[in-house]
Amino acid sequence: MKRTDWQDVAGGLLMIAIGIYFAWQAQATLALGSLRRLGPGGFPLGIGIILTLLGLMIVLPALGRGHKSLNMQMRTPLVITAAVVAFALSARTLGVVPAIFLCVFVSSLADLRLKPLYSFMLGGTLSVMVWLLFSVTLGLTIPMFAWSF
Amino acid sequence: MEIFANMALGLEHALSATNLFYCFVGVFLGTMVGVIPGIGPLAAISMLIPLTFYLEPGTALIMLAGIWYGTSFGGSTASILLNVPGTTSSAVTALDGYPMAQQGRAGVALFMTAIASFVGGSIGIVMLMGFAPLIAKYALNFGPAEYFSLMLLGLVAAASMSDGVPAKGLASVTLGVALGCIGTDVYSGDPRFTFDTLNLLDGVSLIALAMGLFGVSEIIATAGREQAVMVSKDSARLRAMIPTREDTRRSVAPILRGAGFGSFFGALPGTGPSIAAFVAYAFEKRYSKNSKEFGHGAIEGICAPESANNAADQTAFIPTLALGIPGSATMALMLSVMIIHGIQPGPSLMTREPELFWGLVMSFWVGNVLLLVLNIPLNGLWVRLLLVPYYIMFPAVVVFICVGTFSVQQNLFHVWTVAAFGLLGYVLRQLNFAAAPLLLGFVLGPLMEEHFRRTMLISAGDFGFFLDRPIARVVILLTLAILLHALWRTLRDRRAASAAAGSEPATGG
Repeated sequence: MKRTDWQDVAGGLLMIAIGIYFAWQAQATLALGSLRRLGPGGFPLGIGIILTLLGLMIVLPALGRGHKSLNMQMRTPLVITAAVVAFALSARTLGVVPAIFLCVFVSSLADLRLKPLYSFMLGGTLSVMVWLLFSVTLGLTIPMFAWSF
Repeated sequence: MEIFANMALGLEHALSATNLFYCFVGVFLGTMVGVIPGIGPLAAISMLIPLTFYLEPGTALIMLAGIWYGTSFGGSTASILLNVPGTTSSAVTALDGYPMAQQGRAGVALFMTAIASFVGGSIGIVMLMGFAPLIAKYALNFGPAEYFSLMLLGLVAAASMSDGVPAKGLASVTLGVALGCIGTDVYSGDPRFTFDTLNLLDGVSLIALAMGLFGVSEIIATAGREQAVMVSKDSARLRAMIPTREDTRRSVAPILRGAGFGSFFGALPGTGPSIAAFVAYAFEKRYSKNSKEFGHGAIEGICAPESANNAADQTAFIPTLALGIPGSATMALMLSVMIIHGIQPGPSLMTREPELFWGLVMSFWVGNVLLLVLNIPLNGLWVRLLLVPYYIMFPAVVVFICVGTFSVQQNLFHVWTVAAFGLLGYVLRQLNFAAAPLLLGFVLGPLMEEHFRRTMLISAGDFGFFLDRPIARVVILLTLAILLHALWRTLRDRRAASAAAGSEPATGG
């Protein structure tokens, strides 16, 4: 299977999958209406079909064309996403300041040149900046800590 | 003269202490973002949208617009001093700017780009002031059919003119339109594609989507990389700033021509500052008497593109403000900020909110003057900023994205959305799909659907209605022409590719 552009095959298949999902959901769960009076499902059905067709236009020519293999690096995307998720999990339960420290610590794993001590200092600096910007300047009632001192 | 009264009104608004301050903040941040490679104007504007909720809408737009045209200024600094364009629209400037810096003429190059940017920007603003009211007056009797076809044209143009395969650009736009369908249907009130969660009833949060697509995925793509450039503190020390008489003489015509290209391509849907700068550079290189010097530090080679991209930055506002139809992803963000603040963009904006419109336009003058004055003395600061290692910068950006998203409605669901779109953005980037058309589709999608359904109601379900209306007909035919051109281009490329593959087999991966 040398003569296949895997990049476009994967991309096209992704578009086809999303297109079919939208078209199928639209006609299965929403009223389509008539052309004269479109229901909530009419437009998404059309968009889903167009997306599927475009996906086919990407996949089919890619099957007979070589040279691009898929090159997905896994570490950085997972680490950075995990940092955002860590914030999402802890901002309510622990408060924003602990969440910032967690977020910095997790994202620092993407680049090992950031030593733990520095990431701790960075977390502290950022916490102060966030507090100054959001709580003091903008007057938002963001829970900096989930507990009170 | 009505225009002078309007200008006076606008200037009064733009020079108020608050607006002046936020205009400064905007252009300052814009220049900074332009200098730092890896953070583009889209990421910067999306990260600052949460802060604009606490500002007057006019002030918010002034600040965000300042970021947009400030990046072109800053981008040229990085191009000239480091040969690393901070933004795509300044990429061509590096071709001649960096050789000039190596010849010890960095000061002259920076000075001339500042002048070229200022002149280009000014001409762009004049175009905006002249054309936007004219177009708006003309557009007042546009109906839904006209709006739908213009938006379709904008999306198709943006998708097929972005680099790469046209089908992938179109798929990006369509995916954006599909994501725009998520949420409550305006006509029936039915929830659509909400996965039964209340959080999606208002649709996918634009801020979360933009921060994920442009902020998080940008960081994923750049974090952990070796720093490509080593900056020495000496770069900031600029000796001779004053251009020779010869430099000045050779720059005048390219600057004016560049502004012309910029004004034209900025206002068109789908094209923008990057294409304008590229065309202006190519034109000068082809027709200049000194074409042999290009690539070795020709002053025309920095003046023309810098004038062009700044002019395009300004004229990009013409369709956005006069019609309410953005031509690029950044303009789509501007439009959404207006909508978030309850302002209905479109042809009646100028008559309903004259202070906002003219205040914004006049703030461009203020911003351009600020940039001209600030740019040279701040160069030392920017170079020092580039010395901060990226491995300290990127965790800070992640934190700011998280806190910013959370602060909008204090809803953590939006932070989860950021994570999801960060991953999606990374996957799309790896698969060579452009993310900017997706955002444009996402913003224009709901508006298009509304106009489409209205048109169908008026025409009783007859598609021929689009061709009966003269303006809509022209626009639809133009859209078809772009699609056919894209198809022709794809077929031509494939023939070329298969010919190349035939001559040298076994290039598979």
